[in-house]
Amino acid sequence: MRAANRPLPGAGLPGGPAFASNADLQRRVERAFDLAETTIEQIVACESGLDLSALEAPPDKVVAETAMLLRAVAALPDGTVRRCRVAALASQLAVYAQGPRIAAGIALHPSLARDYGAAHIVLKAAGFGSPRCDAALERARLADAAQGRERLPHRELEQAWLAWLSDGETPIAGLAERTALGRGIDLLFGKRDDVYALTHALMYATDFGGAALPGLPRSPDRIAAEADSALAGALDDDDFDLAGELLLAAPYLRREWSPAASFGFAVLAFVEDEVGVLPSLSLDREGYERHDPASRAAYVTAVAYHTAFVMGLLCAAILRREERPSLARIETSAATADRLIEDLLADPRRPQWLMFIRRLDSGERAALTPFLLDVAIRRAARRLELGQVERALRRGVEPSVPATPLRLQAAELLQRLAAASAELAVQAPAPVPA
Amino acid sequence: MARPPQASSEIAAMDRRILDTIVKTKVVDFESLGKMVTAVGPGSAALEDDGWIRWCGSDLRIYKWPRPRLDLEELVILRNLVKDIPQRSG
Repeated sequence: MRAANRPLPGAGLPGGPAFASNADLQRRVERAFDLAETTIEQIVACESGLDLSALEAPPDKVVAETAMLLRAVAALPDGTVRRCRVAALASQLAVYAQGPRIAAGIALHPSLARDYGAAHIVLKAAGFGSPRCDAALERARLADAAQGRERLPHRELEQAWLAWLSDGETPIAGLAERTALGRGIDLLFGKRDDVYALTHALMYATDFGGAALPGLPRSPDRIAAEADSALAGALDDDDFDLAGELLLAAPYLRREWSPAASFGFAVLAFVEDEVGVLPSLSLDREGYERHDPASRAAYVTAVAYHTAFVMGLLCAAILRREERPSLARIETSAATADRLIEDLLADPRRPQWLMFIRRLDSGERAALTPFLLDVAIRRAARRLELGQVERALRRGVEPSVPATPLRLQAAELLQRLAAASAELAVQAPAPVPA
Repeated sequence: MARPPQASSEIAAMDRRILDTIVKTKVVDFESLGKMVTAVGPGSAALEDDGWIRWCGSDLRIYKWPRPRLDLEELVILRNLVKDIPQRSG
């Protein structure tokens, strides 16, 4: 029985008790779709006066990403976004995705044909194809130079996904194994690119959650746990774009939402509601003020659209599954969690998640102890404060605190350095005399 | 109230390996070791984020942009900026 003074579930969450309900998710998908229509109108269909490449929003990229969002929305039950709006946006996109510029690109550069044709291929999979574009892609596929470009493994997987989507071509065996899906990432010191390699490989390997899972190179449990650990880093960096992509792991891998992933979704939903869209970290006042008043609206759209689309993709993916984000409570004390929060608050950094976690009740905070340990250990390891890493690892030795891949990597780090300590001591510089 | 999530066999195996490391290294002075590594090693700089956000686009270009901090005050500002995006009626 619920104690009288205990808050209702979801009372402190964005959207209140309706958090992550169909209505809440549909509202978020519609918000992203609104922005997709605006983005095409403002920065693709007309001359915005902006240097779009400098803003990381060249039209080809915008069109391809809009097509991906459109496909995710088109797969939802009617009513989330009206069919006529989906069809109207598809027609508008087709002008660019299947137009003369793309035809020229495919003919000129057969090894980049599926890059040029990506938006068309995705639109076709959503039911808006173009036979002319298909024929151009087929001619490029048969070209002598068709394979004339080496790519990173996750980019190879992207090509294989596009080929499968376009022609039903079976991906080469072992391709996913060479990506971060098979090999994992460095959760302590890895760069943003490494995390992107993981999230993108997951998108392609699962056809954005739409396909029955192919033979993933590692168990979905292990990949989801790694995504949760990487999420701790992305949230601690206020990197909502990357955090949103990592959250796709739950619906794409068809897993239950973990406490960390549910919390991550709540943070993103909170920030989205606060700002109006889920903001990209490159959206700032300085950049805004540098632009003349006539192009400021287009500037905001160009900088904001990508992260907003990630949130739309995420909410659409959740709507297609039964499993929903839900903040769990556990019966153990929140003492460890609260000590970790206190320690992290002593740091001048104030990421959004740290502001948000204080809204939760003690049972919810206790359930987030593995997440808090991941954040604390990543920060300490990056400062090479190994004593703190060790203390945090010890704090995690509790039956109610399941292990995480980040804590495993931290333990291995300590073990390697301890084994190398004799050699390190020999090489250490002699102390300078006083 | 929910119970702690049931750990999969892989998570349980990770738990055992972490515990094993803690036991094996309990006599190591990690405070000193951390200082030693800082003094002689490349630090964490080899893979450290250099303040730029990078993103590899589908057109194969690597994008990068500076990483500003985002705090609550900034959120309010962002909200004002986002008001510039024309609203759709649906």
